[in-house]
Amino acid sequence: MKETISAFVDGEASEIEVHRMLRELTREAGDSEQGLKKSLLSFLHIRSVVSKDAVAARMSVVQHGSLFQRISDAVDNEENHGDQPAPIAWQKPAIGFAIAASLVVAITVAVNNLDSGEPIEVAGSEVTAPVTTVANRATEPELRELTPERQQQLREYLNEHDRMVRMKRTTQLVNNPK
Amino acid sequence: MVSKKEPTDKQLVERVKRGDKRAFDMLILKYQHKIIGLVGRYLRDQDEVQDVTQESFIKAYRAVPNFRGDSAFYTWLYRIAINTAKNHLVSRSRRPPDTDIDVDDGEFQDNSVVLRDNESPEDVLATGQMEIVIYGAIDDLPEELKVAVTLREFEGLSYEEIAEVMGCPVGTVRSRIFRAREAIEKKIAAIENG
Repeated sequence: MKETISAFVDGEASEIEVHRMLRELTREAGDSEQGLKKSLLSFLHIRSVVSKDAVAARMSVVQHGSLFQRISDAVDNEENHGDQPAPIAWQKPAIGFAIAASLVVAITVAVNNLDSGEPIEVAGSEVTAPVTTVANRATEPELRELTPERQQQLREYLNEHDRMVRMKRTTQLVNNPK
Repeated sequence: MVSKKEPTDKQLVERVKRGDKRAFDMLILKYQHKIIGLVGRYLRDQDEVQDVTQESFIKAYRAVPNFRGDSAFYTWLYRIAINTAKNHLVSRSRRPPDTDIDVDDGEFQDNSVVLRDNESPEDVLATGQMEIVIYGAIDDLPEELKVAVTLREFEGLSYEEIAEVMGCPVGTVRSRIFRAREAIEKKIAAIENG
């Protein structure tokens, strides 16, 4: 994350990275958030000193941190623009992807069950097979051919899909009588 | 200097418009130093500089729904900060300067001459000590990190331009600049923590 902060300072962070940074910031104030802001302020402080911006350089990183907190608190007291926090852009395609993927999974399970001649037990049943989170799918063949950034993007989509599958465990399928 | 920062700013501004105040936090963090530097060219007192900086960001936040993106976010913020500083001077019955500071002067320029007479001896000493620490830290860096961070911070080159100069991938440049900054940050922390 700190490398992303460094890239952000230079305007070189990708859209997905900025989303991730915002997610970190939105979390409850913890060590991670403090570290994130502190690093950002430190990196900018270095720039102020190097570029001889004496007024900004005169303030320490801690002073810059206090000023930031003051401004942020003042903004918090201002009226909110818009109705609700912005949805993360990648969530929109992810939801579509998740729905499509869920349908494919459901159809595949149904077809497999039909092929095996076993009765399809659906109504009220739970999906018992563990849904694995996508911790490292970079080794999967479909991801291997992509650039690291695209791999990461797809991994996000897949994780979101898995999350939604877990949420929908109680989803029921219609049992067609043979 | 080639800059890719505007798409990120635009993206953050859009989020602010939709009600995400944390996105505005990112904009404050990103531009706080520059706005302080800018306001500091109009005002002498450090507390006043901080107050006017805060006021500028609040005004910008309130005006975000009207920001159409015709100009870069920083240019827009810069105008707000200059007007806020000038109004502050007028409200204190002081005369604002006749000429404005060029927006292009906001980055990578030497303000030291302009500001020297605004600084106390203690300020000069503290800034000088910090300069020694940072330049010393840069000197101590391995060659490839030193070149990368120097091209970025002193020359203002983009990652792509640095990659071309150094003959390596952009990802390597990014990593080198980060590692350099991390090393410098450690030395600053050591000084600030006594």
